[in-house]
Amino acid sequence: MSGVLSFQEKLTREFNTFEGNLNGQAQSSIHMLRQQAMKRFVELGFPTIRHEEWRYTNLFPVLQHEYEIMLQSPSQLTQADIEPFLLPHTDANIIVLVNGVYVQALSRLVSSSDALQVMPLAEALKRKPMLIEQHFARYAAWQDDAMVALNTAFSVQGVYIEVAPKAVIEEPIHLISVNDAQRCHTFIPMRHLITIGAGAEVSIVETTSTFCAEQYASLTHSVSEILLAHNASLHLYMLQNDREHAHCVHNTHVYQEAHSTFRSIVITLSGGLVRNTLNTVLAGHGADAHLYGLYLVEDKTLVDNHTCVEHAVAHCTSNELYKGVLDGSATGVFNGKIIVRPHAQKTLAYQSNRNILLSRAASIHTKPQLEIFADDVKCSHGCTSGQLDDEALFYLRARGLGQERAQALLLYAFAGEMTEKIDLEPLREHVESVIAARLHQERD
Amino acid sequence: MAKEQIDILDDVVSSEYKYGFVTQIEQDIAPRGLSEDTIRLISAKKNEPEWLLEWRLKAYRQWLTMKEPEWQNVRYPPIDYQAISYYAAPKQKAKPKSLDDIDPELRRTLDKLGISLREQERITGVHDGLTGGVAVDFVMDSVSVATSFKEKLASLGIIFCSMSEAIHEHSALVRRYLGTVVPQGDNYFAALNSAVFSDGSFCYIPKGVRCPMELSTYFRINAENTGQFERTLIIADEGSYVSYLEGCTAPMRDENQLHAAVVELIALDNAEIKYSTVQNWYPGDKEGKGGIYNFVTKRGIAHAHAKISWTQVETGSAITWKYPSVILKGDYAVGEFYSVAVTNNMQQADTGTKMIHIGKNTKSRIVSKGISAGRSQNSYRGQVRIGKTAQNARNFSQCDSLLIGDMCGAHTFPYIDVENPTGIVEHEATTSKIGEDMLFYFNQRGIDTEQAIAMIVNGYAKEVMNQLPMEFAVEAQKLLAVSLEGSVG
Repeated sequence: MSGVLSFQEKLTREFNTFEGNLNGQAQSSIHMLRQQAMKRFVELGFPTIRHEEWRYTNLFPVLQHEYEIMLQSPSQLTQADIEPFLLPHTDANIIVLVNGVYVQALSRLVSSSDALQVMPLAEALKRKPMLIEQHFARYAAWQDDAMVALNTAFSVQGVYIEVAPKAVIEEPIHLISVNDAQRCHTFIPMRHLITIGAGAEVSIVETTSTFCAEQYASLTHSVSEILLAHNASLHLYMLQNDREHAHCVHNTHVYQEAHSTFRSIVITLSGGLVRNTLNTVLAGHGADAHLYGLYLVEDKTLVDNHTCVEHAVAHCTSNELYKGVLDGSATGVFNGKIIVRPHAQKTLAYQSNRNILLSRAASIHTKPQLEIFADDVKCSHGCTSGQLDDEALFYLRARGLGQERAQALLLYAFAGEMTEKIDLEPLREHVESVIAARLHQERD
Repeated sequence: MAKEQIDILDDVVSSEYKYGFVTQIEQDIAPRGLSEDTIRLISAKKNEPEWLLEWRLKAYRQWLTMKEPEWQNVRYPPIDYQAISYYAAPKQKAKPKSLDDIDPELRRTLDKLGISLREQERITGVHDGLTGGVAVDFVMDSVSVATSFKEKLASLGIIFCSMSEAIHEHSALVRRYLGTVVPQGDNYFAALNSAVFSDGSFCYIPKGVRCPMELSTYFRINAENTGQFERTLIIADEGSYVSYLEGCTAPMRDENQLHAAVVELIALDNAEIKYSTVQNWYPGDKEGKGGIYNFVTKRGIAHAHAKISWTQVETGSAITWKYPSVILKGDYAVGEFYSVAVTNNMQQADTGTKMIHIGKNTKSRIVSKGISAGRSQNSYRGQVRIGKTAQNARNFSQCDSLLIGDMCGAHTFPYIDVENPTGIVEHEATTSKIGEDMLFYFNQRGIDTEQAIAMIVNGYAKEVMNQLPMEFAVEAQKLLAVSLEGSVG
């Protein structure tokens, strides 16, 4: 507890220092917002397990470390350090963030600058004041969420990505966050704003990787706000395969206008405490959201997926499927919320969460939640937790496969339902090979 | 919709709650307010032993330190606990010899509640000794008025009496089990109940006895400004069986009344308890004025090979807030929960169950059907927990919601916690409305929309209705149709 309080005090101190360095910008509207958000964070404090949304995810052990708060302090990484994190055989737009700071020298944009613009968030907010009025902090509500409030207060690093209307970007955008925790415990706040113009199409891959020494922990805290204008389409992939001391709290808030399509696949393979909040608001008629997730974790990893699909208007559809395999003493948390607002008639919303527990120390806490205020809707959710099907195992064993191989094959197939939803060929190959290696399963 | 149809609907709507009468019986009412003195007064009036007074006071002191819960999905103005009278009892003279000796007002009450003359005789204790049927304990304003069939049950060793009687005559049993399933400090309303409970039913089924008839309690709130706080304790000893029914009604009043009961079930090895409720407290008028706040804690504990089954049909109350739960403590224990919750007009319901698996090879099954109409809000909230020790535990849950009208809400909050890899848990939930095509099919065959809805809803709730004992099933089916009348449109 004391560690958490001192961290909270440190954050306040750091915020004051940061304020002092602003040079006359302290009165700008963006900074007024930061101040309000900081005030709110101090009021709320870090969420405890008494908080409904954090019931099973205890942040406090993670917050005990004496973190250095990384603000505008990228470390000296070279192209060679980044190389292993790139997707093989891909002609992608690469955006590299080191300790939250956009490093242009390591990044590479291949799409035309008419279609795609990338710049540090702080610069974008300075150059385009309309962003603050129209988008920034509009989708991620900080008033009730301490973590979002904290992030809003420290919203100085991260990127702004703008996809022009009608631009169809063939090459995926690969957002690589590299954290350097080799010399101390590091806390890295990051804030992204992504606007996708009307009728534009794009795929974004987000990965986080940490260089860390055994004794140091890192905590990445990112909030992304994404606007999908009408008819826009986004495929968002998040791949989390980090070290056991690398903790992260990710918030992604999507706002969908009419006839836009959002498709996300969140894959968690390892890490310390991994918390993903993914919210989407279907705000225009005919908007469509597909949320998929796969967590395949072992050891002491805690993976927590909180999703919320809000049907604000009529004639929208959403579909959600999260699957998980928990081994070792891993803990899985899934909280899927579907809210259908009054008058959001003709809504179709499906949600499903399926889990397999492999060890006695593993546990799963799942809470699929429906809140429906309109009557002409079709909504359903289902969730299961169990083991591998005995008969399927027997079938394979009767054909001469050993217990372990049979089990691996079935788990690989269980995960396969999710991996085959990845449209990006190189990413799918990569994910499949990581999963296969984990399960000691030969790939066909 | 045709105009005449609307007229019919209006008729029905205006004649909705038929149990909304007040009985002019002389009452013995404690002054309003809650303090240690009130508790001492209740305890003194009931001539209770010292240990129980201490027990109550301990609960009260705990209650003082607790905060009223806010997490539930219901909204109501704050309750002033000092404006409630915590004790009200109909004044009654010596034991009745024949029906003529019974307070005529009480008899009229029973009449209006539709309890037959024969049953009235039994309830009021006139004509004991009939075979078969239902043994009824009638509780008005938290005091048990009469219990029927006592002697017949006594010959089998079954104890079925009011709580106050049990405290005097079966003190050892009460003392041993009271508060073992729902401790005093369990939650805010259970603590309040433990402090001020005035009566309720007590039931003990001895080893290996199969109770030959349904045991039943009829709860009725009558007096104004009172809260009803009854406490029911049912103990089924090894290898025994009992089926228990509970019914509730209240007069129509403009202000809200609080009903905070506690029910504890204990099923020892190989025993089976079947507990059915048809809850029809006054739900308030169309604008949401008045009605009962039904904040109830119900929980059972099932030992090895025991079975506890909760069946509930919830149509009444302005606010229903209850979670009949089962702790599956022994190996091979079974827990079941079947529920139909109907909300109309401005009603709010937050109800569901908890199945806590502790023993090996325990099984539980949850079937919940929510129906919301008007401007009501209906939530299912449940927890299934497979503990580390619960090898091969199994759960199946199904919660369906049906929406009638575009102003109502249906919500589901299931919590599933699995800590044992051998546990298998399945949960599914759906929300939908009555399809136009279904209604068209009925209309086409000359069945009007109103009737069609009643039939569809009855079909929808059939899985739960089938679990009710005969006596209740018919009543519950009618109740369901009446609750939803006027909701089409």
